[in-house]
Amino acid sequence: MNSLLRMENITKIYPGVVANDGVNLEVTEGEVHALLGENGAGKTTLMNILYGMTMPDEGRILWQGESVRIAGPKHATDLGIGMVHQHFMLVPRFTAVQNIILGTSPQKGPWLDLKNVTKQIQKLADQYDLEIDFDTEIQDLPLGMRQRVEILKALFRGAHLLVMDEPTAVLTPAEVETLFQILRNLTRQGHATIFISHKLEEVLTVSDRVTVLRDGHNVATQITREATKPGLAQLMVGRPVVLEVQKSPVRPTGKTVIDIDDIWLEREHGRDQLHGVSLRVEAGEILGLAGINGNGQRALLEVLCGLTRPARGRVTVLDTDVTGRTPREVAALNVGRIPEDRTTMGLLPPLTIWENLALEAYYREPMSRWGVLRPKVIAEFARKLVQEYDVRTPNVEVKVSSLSGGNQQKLILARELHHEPQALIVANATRGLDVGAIEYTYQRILERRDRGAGVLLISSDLEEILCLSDRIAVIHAGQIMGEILAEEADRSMVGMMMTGTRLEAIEGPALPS
Amino acid sequence: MLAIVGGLLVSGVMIAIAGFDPLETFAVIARGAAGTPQSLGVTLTNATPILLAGLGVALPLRCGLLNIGGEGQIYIGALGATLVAIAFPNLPAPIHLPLSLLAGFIGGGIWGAIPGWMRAVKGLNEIITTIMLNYIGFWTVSYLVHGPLKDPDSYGYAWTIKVPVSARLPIIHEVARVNLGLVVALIVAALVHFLLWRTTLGFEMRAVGAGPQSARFAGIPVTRGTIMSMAIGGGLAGVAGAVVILGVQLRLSDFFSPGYGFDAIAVALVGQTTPVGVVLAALFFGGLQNGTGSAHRTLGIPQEIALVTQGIILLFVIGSQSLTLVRLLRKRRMVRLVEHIR
Repeated sequence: MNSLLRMENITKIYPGVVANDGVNLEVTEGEVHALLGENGAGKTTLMNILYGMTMPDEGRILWQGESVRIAGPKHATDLGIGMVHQHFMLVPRFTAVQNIILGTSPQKGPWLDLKNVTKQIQKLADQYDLEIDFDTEIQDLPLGMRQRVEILKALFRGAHLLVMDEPTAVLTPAEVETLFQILRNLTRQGHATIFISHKLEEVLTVSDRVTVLRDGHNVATQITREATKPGLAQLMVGRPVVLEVQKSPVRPTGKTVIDIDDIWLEREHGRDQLHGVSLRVEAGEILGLAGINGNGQRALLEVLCGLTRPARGRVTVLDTDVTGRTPREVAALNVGRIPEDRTTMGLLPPLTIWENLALEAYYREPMSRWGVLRPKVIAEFARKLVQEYDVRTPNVEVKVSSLSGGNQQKLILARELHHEPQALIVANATRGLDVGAIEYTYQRILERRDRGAGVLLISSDLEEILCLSDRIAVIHAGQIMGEILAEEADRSMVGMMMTGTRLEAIEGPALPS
Repeated sequence: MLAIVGGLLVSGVMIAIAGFDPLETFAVIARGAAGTPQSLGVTLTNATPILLAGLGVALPLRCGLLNIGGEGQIYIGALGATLVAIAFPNLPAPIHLPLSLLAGFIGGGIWGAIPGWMRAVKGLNEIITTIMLNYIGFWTVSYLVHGPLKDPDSYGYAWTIKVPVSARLPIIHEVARVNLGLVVALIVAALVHFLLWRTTLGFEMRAVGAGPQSARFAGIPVTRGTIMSMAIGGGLAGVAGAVVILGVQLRLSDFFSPGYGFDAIAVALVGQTTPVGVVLAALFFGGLQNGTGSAHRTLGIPQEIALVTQGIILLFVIGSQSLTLVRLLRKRRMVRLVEHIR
């Protein structure tokens, strides 16, 4: 195998942080090379150096055997390096074709030569088997297709090496499957790919070799076939990781803490509606609600938290009817809510740690009196929680935006769990977290369950559902497809329900009674 | 600091092209702004309404709202203050003056609360509604001073009768001719600081500004925060109008504000939307206006060049803080996102 890219001894120092410390990376022709590491391990810095966004302080880059100094993204593109960012760099109001040609301006006289170039792009899409709707504006395309537009954009610019930064973070399981198919296709036609991820499962499925980064060093490069999941996890985190959650058996109590009774909600946008959803969560159990994102989970979360009033139906939390209550009245119940998006739903990143921890209690004694805040009381409270939940920060005056994802998550857990809630609503809480932080989150959730709280776990991550739940319900297009006990669940069955097959239809004819 | 030096350099070139000695001009500007007690007094008097109106922009900005409506709020505030001042000519000053200032606050407050309410409940963009209310406010006052409220002995000038002495802001320094309005403005700045950082209401406003969706999810009363920040912001601009009438002009006209409401936006941004920053920025603005004016009078530098100099320096200062603007725009995008979801 010929070496396509070698990055040797790359060192990059930012004020106070050594982001890369003598990192080596080698990519050969036609391979999928996974770059694995926790958040902050230096993956992004390394790729920014490769793409010419920043200069290394030390080290050199060899491209097809020749030493190069990559001056900027334009230069990287000219060399044949294409980047698909985690957050897509597309103009939402443009069509796929318009986005793909953006900045390349194929001209015929003073006019854009759209006809010719569209044909060209179509041919390229066929060659790599990329299914794209070329006439619709990007904003109306599903995320999976937007990503394919990004890939095609890179290929159109002559990319030989494709860098994909956390490409599966926004995709549904089916879209992930399609993406892997595309990657295999690209490899077959001689392209190389750097696949950045912190999901072990995916790395093991799709890559040929894997390089693990930790704290700015590269720890190892292995051939994927010879790597194991626990082995990689240990390399990544630096200590043995318990991947299987230790779970005590469920002790049914028969006491309902969350009762969702025939909720209907219709919205103008069409997606994310509810058509008669009923669920019951008992104290001491975890009910997992599986489903592909956009099938009503968001609507359900909003109804549960008092953000949206359902058209019909009733929600009871801890024996209190919360239908049509304000978010504050719901928050004041003994409920913990861990939302899906840390920075836009869970926290106020521009504000400090103490302000974020006080977010749900600032208006009551002892944190304030007669409308005046008592900073000493709040700071004391914040310091206690920061210590208890092991948030890594010099003090509580630090802005939340400067904390890592894992530490932000700990803040939310601290705020939502410190009052020992009897009901817990968790929605896609581990998205974007690294292994260590996920492990921590799971432990805290299970700890609440074992102390008798009822947990509603909304998640599009099937692994997470299977690993934590005592019972599993599946939602599709705003309806519950069925409910099963966790020990009776198998992946394909839940998968079928997630795509719209009812439990009766699966079980009915197949199982002899 | 670099920004100011850069601004001085570029404007120095401008001045030189216009045929004047840049160094001498800058010296005159500095002297004109703070060289004598009298000139310092003018600077402080100039700065007072800009300071108050600047707070009136900074406060809603903390809540993620851009209040372009300072000018209208100033006019309606001035109207409120004038009405109370001339309606009760026989009140004792210790009651009459605070009451008139309060009327200014309430007038501007209503003018701010309207777009706040439209934003919070109807989802209308406050930039557009405040601009529209500027027109309505200004022309309402214009109509009144040309008609019903016109001083019968005004020889054609469109203004009201003078406000009675008991409602006037007394001069607190005879030589510098500074009136009590400056003290009012500084006290108000301290109150705004307290409101933002030490009260639950201020916390709510800042929470909404920092992340409207998270704030809603956490149970913060977003509607109340939005309306209150605009009402208080408008009220502060209203007080700006009141201090100009009660302290300097002594009667309401339709030309008393040379655009304080717009200077206020620049002041709020330069001052990084903190009360202390706004105070400093307002003083800088007041001095710059006063100093360039005096360069125009003593050196004969054309008014245009003086104004251009002022503009260039400000442009550099604001430019160096473009991060503030970027942050603001990001917040705005978030707000729109929330509305979309709603």
